[in-house]
Amino acid sequence: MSVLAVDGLRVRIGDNTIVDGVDYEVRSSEVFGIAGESGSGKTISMLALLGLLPERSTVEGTATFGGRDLLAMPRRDLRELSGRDLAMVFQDPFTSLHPMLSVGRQLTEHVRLHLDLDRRAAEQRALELLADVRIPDPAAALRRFPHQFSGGMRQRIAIAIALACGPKLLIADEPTTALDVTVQAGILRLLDRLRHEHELSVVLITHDLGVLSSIADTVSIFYAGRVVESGPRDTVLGRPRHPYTKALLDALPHPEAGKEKPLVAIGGAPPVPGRIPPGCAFHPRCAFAVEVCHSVIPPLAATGDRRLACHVDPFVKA
Amino acid sequence: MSALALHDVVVDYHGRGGTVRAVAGASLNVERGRIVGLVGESGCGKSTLARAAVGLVPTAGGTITFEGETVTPLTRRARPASLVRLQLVFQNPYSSLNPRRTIGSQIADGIRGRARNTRVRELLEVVGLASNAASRYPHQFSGGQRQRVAIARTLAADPSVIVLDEPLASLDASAQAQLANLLTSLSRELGLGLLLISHDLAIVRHVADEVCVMYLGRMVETGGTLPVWTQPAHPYSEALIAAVPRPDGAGVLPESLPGEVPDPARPPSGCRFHPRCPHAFDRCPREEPPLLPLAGGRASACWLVEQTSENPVQ
Repeated sequence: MSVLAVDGLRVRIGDNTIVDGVDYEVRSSEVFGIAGESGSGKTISMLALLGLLPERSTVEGTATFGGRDLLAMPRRDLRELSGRDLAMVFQDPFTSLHPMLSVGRQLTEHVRLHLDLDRRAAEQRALELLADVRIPDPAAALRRFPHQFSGGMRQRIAIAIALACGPKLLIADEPTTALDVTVQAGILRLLDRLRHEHELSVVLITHDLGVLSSIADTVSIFYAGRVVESGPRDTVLGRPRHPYTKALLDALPHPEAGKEKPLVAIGGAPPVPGRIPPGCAFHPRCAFAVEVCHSVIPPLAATGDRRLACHVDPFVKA
Repeated sequence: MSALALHDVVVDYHGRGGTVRAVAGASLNVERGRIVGLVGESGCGKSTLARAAVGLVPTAGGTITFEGETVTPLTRRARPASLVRLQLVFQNPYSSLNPRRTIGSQIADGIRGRARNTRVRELLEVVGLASNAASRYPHQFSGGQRQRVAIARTLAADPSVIVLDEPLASLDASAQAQLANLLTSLSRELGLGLLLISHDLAIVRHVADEVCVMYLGRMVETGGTLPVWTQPAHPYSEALIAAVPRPDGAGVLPESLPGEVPDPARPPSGCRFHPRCPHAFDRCPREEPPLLPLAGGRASACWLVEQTSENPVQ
């Protein structure tokens, strides 16, 4: 069953198209991973759903969540919904937590507003939440302030706040990017447990294909505001077929790589909004580009076990 | 003789809450033409050690020598001329370049003598930037390109050793790959010694010849990168490596290491890693294991490794 269905999402900021026709569906208890380089539109496509775009932005398309279109909803309703059924976790828990309010205050204020609990019930709920995200000594933690926690603990607190009202969908934008690998592993395991225990769907935005590889069920690879390849995790990351997905994976140092061979960097740089190349946006950096790639945008079409936007499809047999 | 040699270095920070020992006796050597990776979690003291290595923070003990000369902490006076060939690249290329000057003039600052413009163009080429980039400003470059500008600027001083503090953090995979390849070629082709501080183990595994694993101010394991990676001889190195997610699409969650780096102001008794160590036994909280040499030029500070002579932990 789908929790969120995005159809034909297009975002323009000023004169630039940042997201250019994106479709996807997030199912119940699924981790849906979105990957791509900086500027690929992965974060903007999420902010659009939450009504958090900068001014001068226009949005087209639909995003059906709980039977309603998030993009057509009055602002008041969207605000009511986000924080309750729809929650967010951002990259830097130091900027998303209020530095001058105690952790207890931030947790209880939130549940009292959305769930209409009295003070005692809200505090009880806050204690449960902190225990759920494995904060040691929750009672003491309630009285402490964000700066008294490490980065990993702060991110756990941010997740506790996000989960406070029992959301159906959690949008996590680079939640582990600022953390050590050991702490990152703990947060990934926490998200994995929570989604099973709470029937929570997660949209995970990251540039780290290792992170997606370990937790996502379905992945979508973004390039210049479009999805170039999407499908089950093991299919897309284990046997990539789009030259961009393949190139992204080849650029990573493989932990078990035998010989000291140089990493294969992708030539050139990702395109800047406003100067997206015609045709397939990846063609100037693509080793397999043919003439049609220069002029015709390849559609994202279902092909066997995945969806792919490539005229050439050079790795079809690989 | 090593180009850069740190022996038993101690660094204290004095604050209102008392003294914190950020580095508690750490040693490492960087030879010319070699890349040494220094890894560990945030708060383990790796950046402090890097700063001490180039004289940016004063030491409270131990010795640091560069090409035979003692590295003295920076004062109000000019940095001694003998240290010019020891350079540092910072993590954030956005804040380490002057936004109001062209990159060409910033690189030229470090060049002595004539023909500066020619040398600037050469250096830009070495780091893989177009030579007409010299007349542009930092904001006209991407993060990866800016980091190359920062490297070109250190190369202007004709260094023999460069210390790089998290140079690859905050870059996309492809930019990271380009920079990692650049670091390898700098050490191979120009014979530079590089001390690469990073929390990204996969990239260190790929470029470093040797690796030093640091925990709470001390080295817990040192050795050749490949043997340390494939058969870690300290439970902490083992845990760090197991926490790296593999980008293979297999859907295996990385192993998490419970707990956090303790407060360096109150380090645990005995082995500093024992509260988080899955293999700890009664000796670990009582006595601190010294960093002892193992076969193959490796060293480890773990009682278990000593007990089983030279076999790595399982």
